[in-house]
Amino acid sequence: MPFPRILLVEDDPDEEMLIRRALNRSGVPHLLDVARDADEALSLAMMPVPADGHVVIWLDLQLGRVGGLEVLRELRNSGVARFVPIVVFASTEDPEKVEASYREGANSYVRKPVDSDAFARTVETMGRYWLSSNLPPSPI
Amino acid sequence: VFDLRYGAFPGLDGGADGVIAVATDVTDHRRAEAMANHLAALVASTDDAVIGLDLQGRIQSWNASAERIFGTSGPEVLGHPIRELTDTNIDLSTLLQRIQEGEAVQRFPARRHRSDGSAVEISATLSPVRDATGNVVGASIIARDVTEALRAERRRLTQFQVTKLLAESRTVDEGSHELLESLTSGLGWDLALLWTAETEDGPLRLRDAWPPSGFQRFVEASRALSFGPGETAVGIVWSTGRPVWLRDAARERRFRRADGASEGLRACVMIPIAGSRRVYGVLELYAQEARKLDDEQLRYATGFGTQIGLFIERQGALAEVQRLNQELEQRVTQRTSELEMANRELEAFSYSVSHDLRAPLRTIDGFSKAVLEDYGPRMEEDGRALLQRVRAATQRMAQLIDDLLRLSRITRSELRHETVDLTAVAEGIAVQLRAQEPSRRVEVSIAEGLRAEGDPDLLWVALENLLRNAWKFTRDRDPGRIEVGTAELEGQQVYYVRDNGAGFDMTYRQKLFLPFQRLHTPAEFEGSGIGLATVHRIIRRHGGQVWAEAEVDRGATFYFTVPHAVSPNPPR
Repeated sequence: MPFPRILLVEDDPDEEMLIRRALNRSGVPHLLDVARDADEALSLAMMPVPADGHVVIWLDLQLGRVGGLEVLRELRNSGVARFVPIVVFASTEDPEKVEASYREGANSYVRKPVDSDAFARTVETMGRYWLSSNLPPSPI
Repeated sequence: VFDLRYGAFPGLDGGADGVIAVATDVTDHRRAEAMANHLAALVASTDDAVIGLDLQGRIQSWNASAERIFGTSGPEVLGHPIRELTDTNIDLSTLLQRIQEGEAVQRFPARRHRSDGSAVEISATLSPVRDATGNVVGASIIARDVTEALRAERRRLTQFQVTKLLAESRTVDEGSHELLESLTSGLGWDLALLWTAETEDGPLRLRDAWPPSGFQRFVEASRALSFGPGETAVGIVWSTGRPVWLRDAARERRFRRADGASEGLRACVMIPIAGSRRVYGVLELYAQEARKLDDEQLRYATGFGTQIGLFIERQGALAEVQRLNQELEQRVTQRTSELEMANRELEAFSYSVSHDLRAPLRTIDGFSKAVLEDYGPRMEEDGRALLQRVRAATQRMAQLIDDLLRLSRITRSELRHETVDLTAVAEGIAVQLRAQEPSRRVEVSIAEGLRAEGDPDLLWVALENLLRNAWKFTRDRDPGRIEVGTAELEGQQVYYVRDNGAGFDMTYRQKLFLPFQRLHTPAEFEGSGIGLATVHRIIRRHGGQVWAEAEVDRGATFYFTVPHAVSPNPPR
């Protein structure tokens, strides 16, 4: 059985590297696709991936030109990624952003801790939960 | 008193035999004569007109005062009917009927135009005159010249009306119609024109006229005119501030409005409407007959002019004050909204900047950790310690950013208004603090029934910061003491949080509530310096005040007020 795939939407390569590192060190089996912006995110999400689709999408909110919330809306409106669990993984804990994320159809909202120990623990927890505990919908 | 008469008593021989003396008692007669003379003198010398009438109303007698008051001499009127002497239409036959029935008529008003053109107001009392047997044989009239008294009365009334009108009006225009009406009738003129000028240089224009109908051609012609300072009589009055009396305007060179004469207007008085700073206009009063200068009349009219002038001045000053106030208010509103806008922009900016700062900070910490994990075993202890310092510093900065974000959220959030049980809130916080440091011995006493009107979440944050502060700074005390209570200070309910902790130097109390200002080093007491700034913002948003009293090593007391009238939410 192939490893479950995560789609990470993250424009900052440093953040990407820290997430990748934390996931690798956690020992949770996974495959990681990274989209740097909205377009990449949408085309990756729509692409019928062989065997399985993404079991979860981790979405940053600060993506430059087209923000994370718009990406979220587009994904939810698309045929392919309508039911894929989406976790907003962002810096802000602004209640307005949190609320907007859920309104646009996020399944979870996790704030990125600054403390890298806490950060690593959070990524590990997310990986375990979404990749091994959570049951994703069957790919379309 | 005797009347003695002597006579010779004739004798038989034709000679005088003797003298006869006849003495008659004439006491009563003499007395009556004296009385009559006395009465005649009284009648002659009194200021009142005393007129005798027969039963047909014809004049039978006429004293000197009657001559003076009615302006005609006795011989001219004796035998004439009394009605010829008045302009007033009197129902004489009814009056005489009443006299014949023995009734007197008191204070009967009448008016007389004398042959010289002057008018006199009369108050007359008619009484029956009886003969010895008691039959009414005529009537007496005692008439008094009440011209002055009536005039004074009318002036008083006019004065009252003018004062009342001015007091009830906000502008001259509002009351000018009634004002002119009062002045016209009160001072006994036929037409009043009010001229005013908006500025010192004019022009002078007709503002109002009374009566509303009548003299239309003249009023309309006047309405079409305007005068500069010193132009024609009205302009002269305006520029000099001195009244002018025209006996007959039609014959005056200075008077150039010919229409007046054609409508029968003759005498004219022009009164300056003068305040203390300038002359605001001219009041013109016209009569349909020529009138010679009446100093008293002029004085009164001038007085009214000044009264109106001062009114205009006062209203002008008032309007100016109002205008300035409005302008000021407008400016304040504008500045406030500009400030609010700038503030909101600043808040939004700091909010987004704070977020943007977190990402690189995470990177710094993340890669420091990565270096420690991957290369730590190959580094010397010093190197690892340096990297740990980098990580500790990023943690502090992360904490600062979080505190800043919280502070900015307090300013941005909507304020709720509820009754908050501060006692319960403080107790809840105390339980939390104890749970975090169960080993510490701190006596916390919280007064019962502390209540305030405000936002429950924000007041909770404020109290938490104060209690956490007190908890922190009593760290070196055993036992630490924290007291939460209330007191009344200058009629205001003041809440306080008191501790027996480290205190601070009051010299620096100004800095206490500023963000990032700390009165202790991080080595003494940890903290970001945001807590009290947060308290300050929360209390200020509630319209209250917060201040502190302390002494180094002898504890601190933080006071705050939460007025009932809570300030409105910031505009969104």
